[in-house]
Amino acid sequence: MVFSSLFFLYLFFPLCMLCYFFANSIQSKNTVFLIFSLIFYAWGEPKYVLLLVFMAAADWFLALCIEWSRRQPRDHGKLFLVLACVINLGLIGVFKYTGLLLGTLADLTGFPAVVPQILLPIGISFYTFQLLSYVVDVYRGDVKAQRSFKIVLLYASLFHQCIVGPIVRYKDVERELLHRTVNINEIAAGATRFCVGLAKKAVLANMCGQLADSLLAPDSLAAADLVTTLGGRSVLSLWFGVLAYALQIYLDFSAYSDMAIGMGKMVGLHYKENFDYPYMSGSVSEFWRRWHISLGSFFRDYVYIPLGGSRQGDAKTIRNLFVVWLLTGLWHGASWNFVLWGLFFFVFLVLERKWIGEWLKAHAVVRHVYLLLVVYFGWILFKFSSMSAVGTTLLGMFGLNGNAFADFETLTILKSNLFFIAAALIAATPLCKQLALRLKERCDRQTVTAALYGAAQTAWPVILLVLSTITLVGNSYNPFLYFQF
Amino acid sequence: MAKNTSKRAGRSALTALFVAGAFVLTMCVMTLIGLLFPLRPAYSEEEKRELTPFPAFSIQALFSGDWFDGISAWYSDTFPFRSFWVGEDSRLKATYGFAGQQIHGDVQKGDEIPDVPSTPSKTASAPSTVSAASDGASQTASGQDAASQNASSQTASSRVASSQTASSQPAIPANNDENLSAETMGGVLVAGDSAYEFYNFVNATADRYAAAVNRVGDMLAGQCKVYDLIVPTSTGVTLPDNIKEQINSSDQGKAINYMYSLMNGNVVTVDSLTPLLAHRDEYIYFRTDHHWTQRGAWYAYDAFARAAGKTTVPLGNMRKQEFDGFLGSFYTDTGKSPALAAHPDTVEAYCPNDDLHMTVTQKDGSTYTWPVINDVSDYPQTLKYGAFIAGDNPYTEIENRSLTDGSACMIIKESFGNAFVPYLTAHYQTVYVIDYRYYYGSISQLAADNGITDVLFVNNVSATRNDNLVSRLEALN
Repeated sequence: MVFSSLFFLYLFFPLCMLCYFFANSIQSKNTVFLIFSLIFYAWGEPKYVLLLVFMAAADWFLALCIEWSRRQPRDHGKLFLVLACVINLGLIGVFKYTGLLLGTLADLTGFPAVVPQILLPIGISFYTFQLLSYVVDVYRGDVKAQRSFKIVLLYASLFHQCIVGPIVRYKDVERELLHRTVNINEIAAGATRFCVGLAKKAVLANMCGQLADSLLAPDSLAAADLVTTLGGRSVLSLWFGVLAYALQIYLDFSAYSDMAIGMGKMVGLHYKENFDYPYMSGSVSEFWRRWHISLGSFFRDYVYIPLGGSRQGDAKTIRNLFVVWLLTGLWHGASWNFVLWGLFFFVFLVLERKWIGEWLKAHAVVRHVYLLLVVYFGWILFKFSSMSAVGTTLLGMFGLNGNAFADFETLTILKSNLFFIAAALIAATPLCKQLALRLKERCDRQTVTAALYGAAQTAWPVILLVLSTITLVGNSYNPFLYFQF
Repeated sequence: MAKNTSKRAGRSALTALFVAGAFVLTMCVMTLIGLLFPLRPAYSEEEKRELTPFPAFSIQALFSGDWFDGISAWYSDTFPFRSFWVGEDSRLKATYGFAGQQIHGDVQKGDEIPDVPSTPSKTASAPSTVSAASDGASQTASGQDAASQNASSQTASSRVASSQTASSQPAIPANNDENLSAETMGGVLVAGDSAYEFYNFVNATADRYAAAVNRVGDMLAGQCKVYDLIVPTSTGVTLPDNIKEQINSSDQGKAINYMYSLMNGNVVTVDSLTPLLAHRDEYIYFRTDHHWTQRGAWYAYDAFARAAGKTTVPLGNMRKQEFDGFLGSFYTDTGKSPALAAHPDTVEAYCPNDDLHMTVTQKDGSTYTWPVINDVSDYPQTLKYGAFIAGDNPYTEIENRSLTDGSACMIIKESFGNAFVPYLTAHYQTVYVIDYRYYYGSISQLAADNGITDVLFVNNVSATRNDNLVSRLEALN
């Protein structure tokens, strides 16, 4: 189930909140959440819900073992930690990377003849990392092992963040899982955040996706057709297509985090921010501190720093960065283009660290343009798993496919979506947020204007909700499927 | 100061109460709307498709997750007041940029159209009166396509059934031929208040089309004269030249010529593009639907009549009826484009004055009689092309009781033919109408049994790039 489905929006979520509201103790509220979360997960993956429960059980048990071991004369904590890593990383390896490994092996050696197709369990990359961080934190003594399996399972499976993050740390929500309070200001803020996220996804991101499909190529195209189609696209079409894709990825991904954070706030669970207007960054390292923050900090805290971080000389620093960006790339998908995409950032991070970092700091405009270009071209690697598609796109962007600069279709699409593209660009900046804050300050000075501002604040989430519903129903409108000519 | 602060805090708590209240209220209202199960539509007239039904339960489907997926799909696909939401979505998207021109769907580039060797054309030449039209426009005539035609007229007939059961009409089932799998067609361009469909020439399919027609020509050689008439779509005719020159749509004139050049001596090809281009300023194509109007069909009929040595019956000799408020397939394709909605089409229907009797055979084999031109004033706005010969049916016979010469012809068509068929009745005592998409009988047998002398293919150019349809033509025997 996804947050942006009408079924979630107007049946699952209201039903869950209704039960939650009528549950009178924190324990029963947690039970409500747990039941709904398991249903939520099972909705997409009825079988894999067992995998989720098993992994949570294993990590719950091993964390208790680690704590128990600490009180013994000989501490075997490390053994249990290694076991947890083997189980978690082993399962994610089997389910996510078997295809890639064997496929590559088959390409190189012709063996095995048939590469098994394993269906990727939804959200495995997210909840595995959550559980892993929990066990490591227990081992490090940052947090106490949780005796209740129910709480550990709830932490891993809570539908707010189980499937697309943010990757919540147990120590950040431990207290709130057991004791949480909520006030009306937070409920209102949560509701608003939820609606903003929904609209970002339903109104903006989906349309950006359609534009990217029209201007680049639909995902449904076969590999050979993909290259042909891209080869025929005009220069303008490719540049705007990648722009639409860049906007889609940000709006889509941050929208899910917004909705998760909003739903959390409504019930007194505080998740950390996951995106901080990353396209406003001035360097690649800053970008990665503002893009998918929970993933970046996971790799920082559990890989980079344990490897020695940047404190053991240049060679080791570069090695550590390499490992982190290799893993970051691989985490995003089981395909070599993601690995390349990760290493692409590694190159720029090293450049910044060794040579151009200081210079960039002194040139505000240049560094922003530089960052945008790096990220922009990075998305081309991210978008296409086939290198020939990447190559064709890059050549075409500079008119080297014998393609026109612009054609009628491109101009028509751009003209009829000009205001939309502007709106999507603005949505990727903090402009609206800042304007709203400033407006609020002004309005607060007088009762009348303050009331007007309050009315706007009240109407805003409702408007977004209605707009989202319109586009969600509209999206299921499918007259192009001609069942007969 | 402190008082001010507490006042502000109170105010913000009050605002928060309103914000949360409005949110909860909206969610509740929408959830209740979602729960209005009886109001959930099962069929979408505009999209001409059955909406996703509630999934059947099975243990297998449960464990694979299909059952849950099915429920989600059903829930959103049949959301109450679907039509309203869809319309609002279209109005919202109309604000996304400058109005004027819009492209819906994905545009596919066509194959290169091979040059035709300049041998003398076998094509029945267009009357010289219209040759003035080949002023370069025909050179650049680019194509587009047409697509969903019969879907509309088909459902038209099923609507007829539902609205007319009282008047002893048999129930006409909706046509959902499993053999013709779902087909996504190309993009649609909206320019002003008119829409045009992109046409991408597909070389291999065009070759197969020509071969299929040749095969029928050979099969019936000596028995019947076989004519082939490929109908251009509005992109190739009425789309303004300045746009036509720019768009990524194959040249229809060139494509039609190419296919005609592949046809052998047993097939007489009929050029309808030239006369249509000569009259491109007239109302010969719908703006909101991919079909031609019956006036457009008349120019093609005129070309055919000349090729077949018949005397054309002028439009003025026929009874004219008008049905306004038609918003056809383009309107649906574009998700109810407001630009199209602002100016609906009018179906102008011309009925010969002879004593005509039409018998329609449906897919299930049952038959009923129906007027050649039906009054579609009460049809839903998207289905008014169904005025002609009861829409798309596998097999239809029209007898002109004003004639007694025993003459007979057969027309093999998809829905573009519907507007064309009425004109044939003036020249043949019996017209046998075959919709090759749904007809599984033997046409050679039919021709032999009924003394058919003329066989006419009327296919729109978009059909000649459609794998499924050409496969059906190849199956004719």
